[in-house]
Amino acid sequence: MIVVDNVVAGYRTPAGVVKAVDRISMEVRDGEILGIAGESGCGKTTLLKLLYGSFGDGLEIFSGRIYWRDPDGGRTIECADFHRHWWEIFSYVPQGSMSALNPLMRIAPQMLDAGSGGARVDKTARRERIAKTLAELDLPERTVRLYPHQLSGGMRQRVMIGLAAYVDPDVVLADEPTTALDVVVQRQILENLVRLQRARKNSIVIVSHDLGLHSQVADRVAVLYAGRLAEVGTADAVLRHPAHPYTRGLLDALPRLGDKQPRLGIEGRPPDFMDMPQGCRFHPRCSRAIEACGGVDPDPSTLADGRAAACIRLDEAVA
Amino acid sequence: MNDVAPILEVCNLRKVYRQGALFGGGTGHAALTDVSLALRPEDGKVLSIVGESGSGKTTLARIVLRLVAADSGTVSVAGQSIVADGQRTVDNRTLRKLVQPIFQNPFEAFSLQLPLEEYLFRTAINLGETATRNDPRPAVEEALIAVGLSYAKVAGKGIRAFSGGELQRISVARALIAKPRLIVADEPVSMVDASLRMTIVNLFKELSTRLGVAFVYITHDLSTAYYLSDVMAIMRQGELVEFGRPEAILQSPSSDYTRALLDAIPTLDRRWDI
Repeated sequence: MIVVDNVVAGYRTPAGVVKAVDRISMEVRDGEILGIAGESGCGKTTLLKLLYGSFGDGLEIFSGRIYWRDPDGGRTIECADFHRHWWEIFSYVPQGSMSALNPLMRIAPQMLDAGSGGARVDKTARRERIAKTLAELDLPERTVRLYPHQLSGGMRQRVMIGLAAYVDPDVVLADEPTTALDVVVQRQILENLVRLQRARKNSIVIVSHDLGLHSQVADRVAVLYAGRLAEVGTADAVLRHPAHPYTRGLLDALPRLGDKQPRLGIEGRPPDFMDMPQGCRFHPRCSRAIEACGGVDPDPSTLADGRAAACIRLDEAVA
Repeated sequence: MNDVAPILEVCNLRKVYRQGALFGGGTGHAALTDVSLALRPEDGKVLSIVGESGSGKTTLARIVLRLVAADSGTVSVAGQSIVADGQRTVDNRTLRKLVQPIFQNPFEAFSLQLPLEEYLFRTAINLGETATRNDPRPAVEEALIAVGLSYAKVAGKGIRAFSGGELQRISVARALIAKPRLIVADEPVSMVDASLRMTIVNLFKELSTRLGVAFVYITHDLSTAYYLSDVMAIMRQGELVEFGRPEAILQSPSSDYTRALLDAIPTLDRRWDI
């Protein structure tokens, strides 16, 4: 389980400090698929980097704590040490599979090399695990002997998932794993991902702006807006009975097949991190905003069904 | 041009892309194999062409816009032939007054150096009537108002000042200035945030009813295609696999591919059986 405790994190830029993740508390539970949703520029990818402990690009934790705790609760690892346990406990599926794979290497050596983290490992045993994982992902046996350019986009993305999963990590973090793929291929890959998770009982975090995708695969969904947590709860609660006006706006913006009723998007765009509105960050775009919304920036409060949402008008919103 | 002729008619269009054929030979990749379709005034104003990558939908759009030459086949817009037997039959200015493009990536469709209004004024001066050419400003203002913006909001600004959704609106305004019969939009919302997609799609819908301009909407997203279109075509590997009213296609898809496509859409209403 990864626990995020009141974390403020972001980047120092010449123009000032950007808090891409602002006072967020949540957890990634053991054995769950957690979906992270929100528009571009809402902090989704930054949160995922924090969960992976990847600080290479100037990302900094300004306050709060992130740590991993094993299922028995005996051992904890702090975020700053996550990188020592990459592949073994944490692994990552990046967005663009073509730029993540080495074009000059065949698949097998890349997988062996990456999964070992540089350490000496029993290669024969590893090869068997690679073969087994790729088979689970419906990839043909010969895949390991091919170069990335010989694979289709869907196969490459499956290789990336296999790469992240074959060492059997506790948490797999996937950033938009199926964007740029066709829907038919997307469905196959999501099915692979869910089956793999069920077989291994690990946790998967999927970042995607597609709420339809979360509704298919996620057990719980967290919705981010302008660096803040707007709503988090079971996929069923959040996506079927949204409490936060932002979640509701995102859902209303989704066209549904077979339905020609007029659908409206949310007007405007997420605020600039250098120029946040006073009070609730969503209120300038919110159709339910009242004057008081400009005065408070609410933290999520827990509702009766266990989900949490950050809105001062929750009672009316849920009713 | 007349009002009973099909808004768009495409007959037996073929296109093969050749690889390694600099000195003859090489291998061919058939992007379009004998595609025929039409959007008639009685069908409505919006034709969607749905397909995955490699289905030939973008090639078809580019041939209609004459950005790519067809190997054979004919294309006509509002009764005016623009391509016959793979050859162009009208000059570019006539073509641009009939058909206007909207591209996928609005951040690449405009230059970083030029103020956006330049594009609007140039279109008005190049393609407008005599009165517009003498005084382009009213046409530019009118087009911006039609897409929900104003001249004051755009004047003097470059692309950095706008979001993807706003830039796509400006692309639509630029296309409208030419007063075309048809706008061909190639994946116009795939680079736009999901929350704003519907605002652009709704704009197409509104403009088609209010101004009577027809749209060809090229997309991989069946849900927005269904929402927007009066007629829908589904393509795969260069062939037309389905053509008809969206309601009819949804109710009784005639090909296995359409069924697979329908099943693969991640909807909120039902969960896949995994």
